Amino acid sequence: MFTFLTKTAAVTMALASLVLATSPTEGAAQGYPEKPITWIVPDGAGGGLDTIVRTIYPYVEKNLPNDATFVLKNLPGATQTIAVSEVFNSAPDGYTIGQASVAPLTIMPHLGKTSYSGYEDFELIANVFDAAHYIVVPGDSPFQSLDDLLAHAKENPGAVKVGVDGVFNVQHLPLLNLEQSAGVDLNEITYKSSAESKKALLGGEIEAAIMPSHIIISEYESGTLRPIVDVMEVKPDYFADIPSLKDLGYTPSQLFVGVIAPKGTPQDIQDTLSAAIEAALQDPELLEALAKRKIMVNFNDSAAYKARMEALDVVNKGILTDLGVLK
Amino acid sequence: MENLAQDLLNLFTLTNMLCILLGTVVGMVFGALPGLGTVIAVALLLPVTFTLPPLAGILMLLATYQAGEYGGSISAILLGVPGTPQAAATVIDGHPMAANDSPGKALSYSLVSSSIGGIFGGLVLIFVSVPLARFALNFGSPEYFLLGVIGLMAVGLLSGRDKIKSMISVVLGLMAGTVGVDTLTGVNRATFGQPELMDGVNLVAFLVGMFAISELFIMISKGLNVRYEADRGTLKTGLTWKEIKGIGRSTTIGSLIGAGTGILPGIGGGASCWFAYAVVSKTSKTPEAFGKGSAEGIAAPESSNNASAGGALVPFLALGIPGSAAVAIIMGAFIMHGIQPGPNVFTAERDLVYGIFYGFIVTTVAMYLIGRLLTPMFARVLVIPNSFLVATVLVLCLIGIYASKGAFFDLWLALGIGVAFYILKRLEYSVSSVIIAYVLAPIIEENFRRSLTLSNGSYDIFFSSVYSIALVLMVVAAVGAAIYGELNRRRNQPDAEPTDYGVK
Repeated sequence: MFTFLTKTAAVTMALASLVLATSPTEGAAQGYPEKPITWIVPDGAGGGLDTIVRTIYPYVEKNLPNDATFVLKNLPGATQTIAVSEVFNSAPDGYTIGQASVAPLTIMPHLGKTSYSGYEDFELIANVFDAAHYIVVPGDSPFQSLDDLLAHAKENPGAVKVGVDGVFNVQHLPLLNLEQSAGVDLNEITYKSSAESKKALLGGEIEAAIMPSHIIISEYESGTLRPIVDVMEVKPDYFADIPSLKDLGYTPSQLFVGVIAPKGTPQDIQDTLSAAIEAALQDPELLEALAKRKIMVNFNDSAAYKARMEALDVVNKGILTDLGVLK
Repeated sequence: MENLAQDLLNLFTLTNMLCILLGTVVGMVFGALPGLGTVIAVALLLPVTFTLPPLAGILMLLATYQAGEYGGSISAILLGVPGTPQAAATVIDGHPMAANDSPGKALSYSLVSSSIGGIFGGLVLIFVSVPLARFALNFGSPEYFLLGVIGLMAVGLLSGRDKIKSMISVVLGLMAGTVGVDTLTGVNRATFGQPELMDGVNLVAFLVGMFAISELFIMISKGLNVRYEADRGTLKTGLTWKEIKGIGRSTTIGSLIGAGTGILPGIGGGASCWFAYAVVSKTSKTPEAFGKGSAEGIAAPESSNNASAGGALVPFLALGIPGSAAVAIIMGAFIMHGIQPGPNVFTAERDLVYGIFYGFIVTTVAMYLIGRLLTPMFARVLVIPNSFLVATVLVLCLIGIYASKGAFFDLWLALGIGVAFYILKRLEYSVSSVIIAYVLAPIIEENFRRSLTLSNGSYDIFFSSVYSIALVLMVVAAVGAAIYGELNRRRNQPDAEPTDYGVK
């Protein structure tokens, strides 16, 4: 009995090593993953980003070797820095990755609110999607274009009230940057969420607000709200006719959401993950599900993702330095 | 009429009805478990809806939302621990009635008033959602600030013998409400370097700590071998027609206040239950019964929190602005199905919207029926000896807190808050004053400062609209009435003590 078991084990091991030797992947990625991979989601269950990750992860699993499985871990709060800190503190063994937007990587570290010092403290695996935010005015607003709004603001400094959904964030910084480069003084009004600033805009409390493109589609179609300019770099196809800051000669901001891993995660594991994400984002079934939700899929490999992050970091750092809040 | 028949045919399908049943059971159970609550129940069922037709999935979530609002009162009544923030006011009268009189009856009062509130919210939704949502847009930052101030004055109405202790409670609540990143300047306030505190003290940890954990300490200190005396008779859950008529006025006021606060995004059911309780207790013919197990004291907050569920759908369906945290998740279900909430939804998705309208009424009926079925079982909880009850409730509380944000920090926070509130309760401080102040602090502070930013520092903004002037007059009148009443009382009966509404 004993010899039978040893023999079976020996044969199995021999076969296994044969299979492994002929498999295309090499180094640490060999046999990866051997156990479930934790994917940290910086959003509460049922939130916008949470539902996006939950839509995507089965397709990434499908494109990973060895019947890979993900375990999603929700860590919402503090502008995603709680989740990103968790990635920072995890072992770089390829079994922890995280979803992150640009704010926790290029803004919060400069405000001295994080245990990590910036995006350089992470491996940037791949970008997944982009978002567009527009300066939006009510349908009956006299401002037909950004020029109208800026001209009015120039004549009446501090009079034009523009809502943003938080302070020193992905909406506030581009607005401050625009004010500086156009030489105008707007009255920025901070709300807690885009739902609140939308209510204020519809109620006439403010003249304009910055809002994510996907929550104003119905208003745009019915004419109650009118986006006048995209403050981000990428444009959604449903607002293709509306100019972006770049079109008008200003510096656009960027809002993109990708996958990061702890610094020192083996390169071949990073490559495996990046390739799986790339393949998943070409799956027509997933693309259809994301298109339905108005998500702008935009795969960037590690190098492109890093280059964008670096460029944005310089811009954001500059704005925060000018404001005198850089830590 | 043809449309109505078609809408009802679309609604009464087997899938829709099964979804409503499932949502109702999940909502009621999660609502009843301290710490888990409505939002977690809705979030849990959200992925299930992706595989369902849009109407069935959304009705399931709405049923969960409705039933969770009632479910929160079950533990509030039986254990003195509100299952949801919206049921915090129900503790004041529900728990004494269950402990001294009849747990079955207390639950029935809650179920009947919740159902009436739910139906009322549904009718508001069907008949006046568009004009009402437009009207609610007139309430801007100055009006929200004034509403918050009026809410805080409810604390004055509820406070007991010791005004000083009550004021200390309010200050504690306001202080807890200011923890976290300041929305307007981005500065961290009282976070002690803890990232977990940047979004403020977690409401679930705060609520569970102050109500549940402190209550468990009290149960332990009373001895673990006691159990409530409950015989078969007191577990009966039926109400007589006369008893239902007795809560008619209270339920009407509660429903109106609930629907009214529901349509204002950002105020929330957590505040509306206190508004309703304060108004009903002050205008009741039997104010002395409040705090000791008054049926009206159960009906007011319970009808208001269910009416606010219907109210919170008004700005969502009419304008695409979610009126509460649970509705924000329900919006996720819309978006996942490729439906853009907003003004177009009435024309683009007419069948869906009308299905939701009528289906919402059906969810209320389902809540009532399943409530009738499950309530006698829930009422038996009080027959369990404390030694089992304390351990079970503590475990459920810890799961609830952890599930809310996945942070271990919150467990320690809740324990610390529990110890602090055990001491405060022993010293007879008013727990309800703390929670009202905590819920209202951000509404008052943010909207006050935002108003002044909007006006570039001018206080004229608080007198700039008809609505804000009316609210200022209400504040003045309420302060005036309180001073007048107090002077009158002192002149007439210098020795009498006012009724104590604080939770002990």
